[in-house]
Amino acid sequence: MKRIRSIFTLLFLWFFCGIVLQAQEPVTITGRVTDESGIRLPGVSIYIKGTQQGTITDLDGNYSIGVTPGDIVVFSFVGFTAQEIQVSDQTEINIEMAEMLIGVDEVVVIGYGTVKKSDLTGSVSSVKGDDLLKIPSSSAEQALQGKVAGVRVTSNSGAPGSSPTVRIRGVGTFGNPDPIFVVDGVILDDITFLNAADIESIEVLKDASSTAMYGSRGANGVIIITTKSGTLGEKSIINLTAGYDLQTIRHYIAMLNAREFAQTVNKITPGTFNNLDLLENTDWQREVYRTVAPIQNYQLSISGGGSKARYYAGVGYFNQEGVIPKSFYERLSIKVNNEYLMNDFIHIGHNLTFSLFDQGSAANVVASTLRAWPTDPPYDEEGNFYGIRGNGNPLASIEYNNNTRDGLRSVGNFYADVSFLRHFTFRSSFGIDLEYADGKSFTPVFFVTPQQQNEETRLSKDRTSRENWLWENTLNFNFERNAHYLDAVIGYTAQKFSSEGFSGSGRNLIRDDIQYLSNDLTDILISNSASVKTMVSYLFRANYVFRGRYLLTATFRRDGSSVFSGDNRWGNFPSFAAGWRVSEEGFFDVPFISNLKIRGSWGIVGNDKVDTNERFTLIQSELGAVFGVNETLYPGSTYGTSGNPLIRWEEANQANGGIEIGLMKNKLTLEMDYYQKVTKDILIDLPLPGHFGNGSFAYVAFNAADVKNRGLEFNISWRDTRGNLFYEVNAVGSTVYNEVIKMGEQTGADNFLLLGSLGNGQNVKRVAVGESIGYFYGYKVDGVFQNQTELDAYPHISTQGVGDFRYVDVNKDGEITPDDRTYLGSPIPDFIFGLDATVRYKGFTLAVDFQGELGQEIYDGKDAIRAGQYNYQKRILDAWDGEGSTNSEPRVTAGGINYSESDWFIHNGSFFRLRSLTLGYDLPSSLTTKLKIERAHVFLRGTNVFTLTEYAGYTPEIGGSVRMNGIDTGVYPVTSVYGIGINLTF
Amino acid sequence: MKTIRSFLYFPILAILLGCSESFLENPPLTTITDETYPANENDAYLVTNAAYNNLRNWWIMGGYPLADIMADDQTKGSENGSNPDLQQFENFSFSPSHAYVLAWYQTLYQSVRQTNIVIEKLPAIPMDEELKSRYIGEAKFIRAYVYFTLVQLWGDIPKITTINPDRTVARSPAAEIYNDIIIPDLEYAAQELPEKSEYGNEDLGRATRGAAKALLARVYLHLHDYPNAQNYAEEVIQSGQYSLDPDWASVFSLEGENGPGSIFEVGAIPLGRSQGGNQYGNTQGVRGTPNWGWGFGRPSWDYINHFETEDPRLDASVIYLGEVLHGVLIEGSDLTSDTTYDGLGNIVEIECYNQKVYVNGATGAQDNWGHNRRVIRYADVLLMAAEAHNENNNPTQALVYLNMVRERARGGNETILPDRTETDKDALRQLIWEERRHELAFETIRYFDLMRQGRMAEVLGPLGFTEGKNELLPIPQQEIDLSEGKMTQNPNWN
Repeated sequence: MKRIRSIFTLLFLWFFCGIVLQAQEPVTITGRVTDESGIRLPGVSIYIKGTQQGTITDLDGNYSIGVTPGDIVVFSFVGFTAQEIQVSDQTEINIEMAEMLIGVDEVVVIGYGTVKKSDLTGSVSSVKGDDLLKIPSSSAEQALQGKVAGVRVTSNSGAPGSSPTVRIRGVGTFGNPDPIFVVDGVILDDITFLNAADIESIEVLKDASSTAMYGSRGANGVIIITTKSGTLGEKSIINLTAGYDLQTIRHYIAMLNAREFAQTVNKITPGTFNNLDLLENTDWQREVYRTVAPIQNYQLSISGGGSKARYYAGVGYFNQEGVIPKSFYERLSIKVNNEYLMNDFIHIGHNLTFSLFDQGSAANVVASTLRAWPTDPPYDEEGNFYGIRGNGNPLASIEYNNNTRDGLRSVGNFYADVSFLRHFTFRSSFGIDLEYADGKSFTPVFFVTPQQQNEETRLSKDRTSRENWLWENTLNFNFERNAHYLDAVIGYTAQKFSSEGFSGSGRNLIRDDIQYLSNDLTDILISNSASVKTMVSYLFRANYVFRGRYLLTATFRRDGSSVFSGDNRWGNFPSFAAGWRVSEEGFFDVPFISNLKIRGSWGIVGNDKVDTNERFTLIQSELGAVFGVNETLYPGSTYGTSGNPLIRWEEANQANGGIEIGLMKNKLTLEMDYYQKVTKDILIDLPLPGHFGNGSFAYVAFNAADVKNRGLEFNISWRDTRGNLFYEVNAVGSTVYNEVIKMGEQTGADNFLLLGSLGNGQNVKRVAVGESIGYFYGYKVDGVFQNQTELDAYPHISTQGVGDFRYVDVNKDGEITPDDRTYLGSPIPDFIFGLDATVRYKGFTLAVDFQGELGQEIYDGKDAIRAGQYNYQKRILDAWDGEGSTNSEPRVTAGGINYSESDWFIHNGSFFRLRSLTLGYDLPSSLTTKLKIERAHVFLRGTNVFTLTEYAGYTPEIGGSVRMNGIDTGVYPVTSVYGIGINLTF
Repeated sequence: MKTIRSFLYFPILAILLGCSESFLENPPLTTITDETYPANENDAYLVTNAAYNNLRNWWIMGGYPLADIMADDQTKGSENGSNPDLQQFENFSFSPSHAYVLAWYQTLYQSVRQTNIVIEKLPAIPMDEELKSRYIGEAKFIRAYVYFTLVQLWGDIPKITTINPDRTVARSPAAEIYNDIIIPDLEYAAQELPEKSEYGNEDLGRATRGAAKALLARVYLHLHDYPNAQNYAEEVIQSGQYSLDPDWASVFSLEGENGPGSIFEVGAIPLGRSQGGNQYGNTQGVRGTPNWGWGFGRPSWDYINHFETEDPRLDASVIYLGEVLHGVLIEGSDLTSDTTYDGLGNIVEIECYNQKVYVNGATGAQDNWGHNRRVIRYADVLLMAAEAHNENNNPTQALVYLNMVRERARGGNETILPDRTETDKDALRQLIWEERRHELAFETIRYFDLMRQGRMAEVLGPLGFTEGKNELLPIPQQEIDLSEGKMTQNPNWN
């Protein structure tokens, strides 16, 4: 600690002294800025390079600024190439600005700062805010699907308000591989509160050099979201958007109808169904799911700025109903981003979002809908819910399940920037993440069957509050002289996460609609949970550019977290990167290559996503016993699940090499990266051996394994204008290779770890050295025993008979035992890609987005978990029913040995999907200017228009936690969405 | 206010103290950790109470009657074709990766841990020594009971006597478990625990000296150590603490809870599990009309036909369709066949329910959550004494105890259940075993009786029992997988 402080002090003094020695006499220069055709440009930003001093041109394009001879004055304006003039002794400088080549001088947001794209040494991908508006969704991450190389976004549920799973560069860990989000400087785990229309741009930081500034939390990648703000000197712009879409299930799962089901069950128990012709059929999926469900989306924003302030205010309303009745998500979000220039040296500002949300969850009826007997009607003759065989009546579950959640979320920051001594800026920013949410669940009295009933009304309510704050202090040093450019930042941050949850439940409400726990209810139970986590960090980065073509970056972060104890509390995360802009070299003279840069980086980042109290063995109460003549419950408390005091950070060691090429004035750009990431000491929840005494379904976190991810990413763009036609095509692709390379000593397990518990005793996923994380594991099916002779000739499990599967004797020991289970496939795709194209012609815009994944497998859990007689998928019609009938489907059973874990449940999950299709039209200005509208844009759009895949479930995208990744246990159906909308700019 | 203050206070504090470690020190907020618990007399009380709690766990005594369904007295029950997972226990078709086998094993060891906590931690607590010994005695009784269940079901098992065992262990021979844990624990308990009558009213239901001795008798009988079995059974009988309730049927009623013949019971009240309820009664309650439960654990046809004529215990143990109980007509479930026949027209099963878990006056399915599980009864001790005496060549004394049980069952009706007079050892042994079946049905005794009597293959073979294999449950596959090769599987289970 002391050593670090003294190093920083020395560096600071060194730079300071260097600067002070160069003070000279200041002078005022004036001038005018025009474009190439002579039109004056107001609002052009003029600043002295390497400092925060600057001004803007007035409405006539005139400016005046105080400079010191030798300063470099930069003129920059959106859409134009920036110009730099070194001041010697002139007092008037007039500038003619040229429209810029696309791409190279864009500014990219990185952690704790920005950098020009051309100076970037790390691997960062940018997505513009407008690209996020093509998909009507409550979560902005949905729109990233197929847009960023190396990023896999899986919308694993169609439930309203659900967030997709985002994976950056493979799966680096078990516990929680989610990246972190940084919104307005606040570090978050989710962005459910954010309205996509308020987003200016998203930067995805992928390699160690770019994520190192987030140290202990950067291992899974960082997604930085910059929200919109006004521009100085811009007149107010009012923007209004309205969209209305309808969701529909495009693909129903092919289940048996009544007749087919009756015939199938009769094979198990003959005589169960007689008079097949008189059977009524119930198509349960169509009975339960709505045909269409609407989404509505409205926003209004106003932004602009004077010379001393700029502002942005946006209001958005989102309302989605789900295809399963009673599921919905509604959100009102308000965003206010303002900045005030108190004087030339001090800026203060804030970025705030308030979001109110209301969400209704449907009962989890997907499984019971697929299991319900098609021979049973939904209602009986009196109109009551029929006692469906299978797994309960799903319509009754929906009817009697009332589960809602609503609340307020507020995220934002307040900051102040102070510039001094021409080269320094001190910034202090206080960020908050607050959430207050109330949940309620009410169950009325009902009776359908003894196993689907409720004898007393039940009410449970919970209130959770979360208050996180983040205080960041950074000192930025910016210096440029001749061929040297240096941008450095040092900082100190402190962070606290507090949460508290309070819940209560009771039975026997006095009236069903008096849903409060204040009544004289039976058995009021309350529980109260709370946790606190704190972090302290020191950070440092220096970016050095020599002659505009040699780039070096060094980053260091030191984090301390309260989640870990003792020696494991602090972690150090360094990284280095270098780049070479070959195209800037004098010797480089290839005419059609407008940009060529190679870069590389290496670094260590960490992951700390583990439960706050993981290292403790907590005392659990409410473990009482009944004693006494009067039979009373007496309290009891004892140890809960064992904690692990040895847990520590996960550390990801990542190396990255990349090349950026621009051809034909950057009309065609190509960016390619190759990376290798090794994550060590991965935290994973493991089942402990039973003799530890933690009971059933208990898991403890250990630093258990090392995983390697490597891949190749590419991003190709082609954009061009021919007269009135503008077109743009982008393709991204990434390969993923994932391998577990070591198992940790802490667990003692050096063979494998079990994941993917189906809840029936089977674990179908495994972790072992040499294979990808969580690969599927089970028996390999080799055929079906056709007759007794075959049964006797081959090794088989004792309970198997004729018509059952023949499993492969993998270890060739003449027996079929659990040791004959083997690798069956992996849920991690080998290749992820996206392709999008936009064409604009005279006011019409057509945009298509494709995305796809190849090489992943899915385990059909909903087919495999059978605890009773359920309905089947159509494939059972091909079941074995006599010698020679089939060699791939076993005989019909309600459950049992053929439902052991095997590759019969493995399906290819590769898919190719038309993710969105948008057709838009800008109404001609002749029409709009009459109404004082600057731009009116109408559009039709379709989302998830079609999906090509072999998998027969609702969707081939089965994400989820690493433990259950790739297992389809009955996901909420993902829908196709079609709609219209209008966007007006005033 | 507190929130606002913490907003302002912490940042300033943090910057002033630099990298203050105290800012990063955050113990759990809502509970304490094992570092400071148990520390005082109240903690000792709480941690001992918690050791009883797990007995009502679904996987020990709070769920399906797994061992009884495996034996020949109860079938799976409920609807035809439902719960194939449970059906696999009835016909012995389950495998080592069956979820129930794993959960049963894990939950029993959870009780081992909870009792180890008491036994290991209490000695250091400054408190009344007599009370401390009693608490430790109670924990040792429960630990012995749990280990006895483990060792009977699985044979050789890991021997765990500390709170933090090694991660991978090998199985210890069953004999070691008996000699190092079960028997010494029960001997300690027998010495330190008070007799049933010495407990205050609020403590009724805790482990007693009599319970420890009765369990010792059971253990020794299982080990075929008849002299010791006889001694401990005699000590319980001679203590005068217990007697047979003259009304057999009321032994299982609400009024009969903690009755004169109750040696060890698990108390429960008709609420949810965390509030003191036990679902064991509910899983076996009448299904359909009236809606008293799920209907599992159906008395088997073989059991029904096994009784001597007019033994009133049969009617009192089985609820038949058409019976009227406390004014309620038993109609049963529409989705269960009233009578099930085999291919030749013979009855194989009828729809009926376990009356021992019936709570008289039940009005709904929640009532039988209050059923107290009878673990050890005086009648059992009498029959154990009879069996031990017989094996020790005292048929006369054996007959005395046997006939005490029959006399109570007779209920004053001298025309039924005549006293036994057989003195031939082998014949008397059979009579005693039969008496046990009629007296102690559905009390998780039959399965273990057949085990120690060596009759499992003979009696359960027709139900799917495989000799040489099913005498023991398989070690759960997950345990074998996690043991890195240190644990072996039971014979013929691969």
